[in-house]
Amino acid sequence: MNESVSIPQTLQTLSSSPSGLPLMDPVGIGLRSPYYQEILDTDPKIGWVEVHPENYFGGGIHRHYLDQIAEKYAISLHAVGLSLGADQAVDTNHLKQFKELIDRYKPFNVSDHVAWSASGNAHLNDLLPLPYTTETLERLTNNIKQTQDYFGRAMLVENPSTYIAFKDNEMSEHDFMNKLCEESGCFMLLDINNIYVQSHNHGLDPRAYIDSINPKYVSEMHLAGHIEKEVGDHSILVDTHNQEVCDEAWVLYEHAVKHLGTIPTLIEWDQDFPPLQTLLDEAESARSIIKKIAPESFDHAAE
Amino acid sequence: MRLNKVQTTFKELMLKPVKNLEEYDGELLGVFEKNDISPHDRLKVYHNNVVGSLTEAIRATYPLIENLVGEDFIKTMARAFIFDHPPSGGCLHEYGAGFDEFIKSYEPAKSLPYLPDMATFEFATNTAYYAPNDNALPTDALAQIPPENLGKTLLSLRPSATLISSRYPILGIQEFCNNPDQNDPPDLEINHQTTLLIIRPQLEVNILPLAQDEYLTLTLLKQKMPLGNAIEKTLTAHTNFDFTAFLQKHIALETFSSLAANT
Repeated sequence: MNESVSIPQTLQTLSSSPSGLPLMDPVGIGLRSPYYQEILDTDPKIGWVEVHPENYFGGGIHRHYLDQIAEKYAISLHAVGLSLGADQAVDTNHLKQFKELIDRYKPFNVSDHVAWSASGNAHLNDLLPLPYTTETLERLTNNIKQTQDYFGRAMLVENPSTYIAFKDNEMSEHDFMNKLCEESGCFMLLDINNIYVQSHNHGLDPRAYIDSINPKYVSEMHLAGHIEKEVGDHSILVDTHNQEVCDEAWVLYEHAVKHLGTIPTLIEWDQDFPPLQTLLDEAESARSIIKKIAPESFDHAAE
Repeated sequence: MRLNKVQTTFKELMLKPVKNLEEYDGELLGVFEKNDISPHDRLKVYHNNVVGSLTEAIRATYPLIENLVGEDFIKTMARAFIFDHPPSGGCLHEYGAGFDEFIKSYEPAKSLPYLPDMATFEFATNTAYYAPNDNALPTDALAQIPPENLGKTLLSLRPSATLISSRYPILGIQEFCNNPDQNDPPDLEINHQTTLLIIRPQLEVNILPLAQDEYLTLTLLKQKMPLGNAIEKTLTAHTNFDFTAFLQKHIALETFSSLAANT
């Protein structure tokens, strides 16, 4: 059912990127529970932090820490559970709990993925692949609009890492991403590592991918690590977020900053957590790339 | 193939043993590109991610069960649970509810009859961290209530509270798991009549052994029985029940939610 959902007036007036917030430092890190206490104790120099809202649903002990950290840093909410690409409406209970966090923490960005996880009543807890067809585009657009209507604000969606490709694709992934933003009024969270993963897994040109992205849609970038899984004589890169950002992804990031400008950028780890300093060092690497290409981005920073 | 059919079929393949995927020869294969790596091998990456992440979620919630049965056993048991009971929503910290009931019907675990109760205990202790934070009943709150209304008062337990009753020595088994060198295994043949309250008053989860009369009163209060009726009912079963001491103890332990939260 592709019921059409109209965008409320408040959203239509949102002409610019939702990340218009003047971050003093465009680089942030993913906030996960192993880092709560050290961040509170040491006040590391980072521009912002991003959390998975699902970890804070319903209350609980994690909010005790996030409440304190939110007093010091700008917050972005990056969901993994909306299942926007599922051929069914978004779970209203999930939306309700997410909205409660938006009201509480006033994030500068809210996002999820171009992927699906739920089918019927089963939620598979993984970001599953989508064919790039008009049918998918309509389904995603409806679900993004449903979400944006509920939140009363525009959201961001992240380009995926996938391990299988559909024969029936009617357009390239980058065209699909641009069209999705155009039709749903959402913005893009461009994950640079995912583009690298896609280039390896599906043989596409990662620079051409970045060059094809319309800069006006990009409101955030992600940098993370992956692993390589051997399959016979070949391999598949799997987006595991448990490694440092690879050299190729850093080169692509520099290319992306040249093409897209200074965009809030996140260092993201989700497993095998290293010392906080590793994330801070990676954040500094991202910062130095921005400084090299767009030194004016830091003109007003308190340094 | 329509998106809905793709997703339904994909889901079904994820929620069966990997052997089914290896032998799968259905129409979903036709929708994928064929190249150096077969669709079967590519789908196995997803199967591994889906089953792997849910298995890790179960292991993270049930480390004591893993300690009791070993890594291989819990992984196999978790997979069977996942295929039967996949998550119903996108909030993973709620996942694993019902593992205790599942274990009861899981044939290979039949020789470990205490395992379901250990799972109930472990789910309560680990999910208490995610229960909503609310305010405890202030120490003077009951004194503010006119005596004639006290009996009608509804005292709610904190959102993190779980009451557990088992014939097995849950804490003894936990202690034995944590320090096997320093403890003799508990005797599982005798009835240990264990009653516990699991609760997170502030940041830490408390595990409190309860007397039978305390357990009964708290159970009745949790069922929304007014205070007066709960005490009366407990007194008929336990004539020596000291309800004043009970109230003082549990107000001090922050077992009850503030009355404002009930309105």
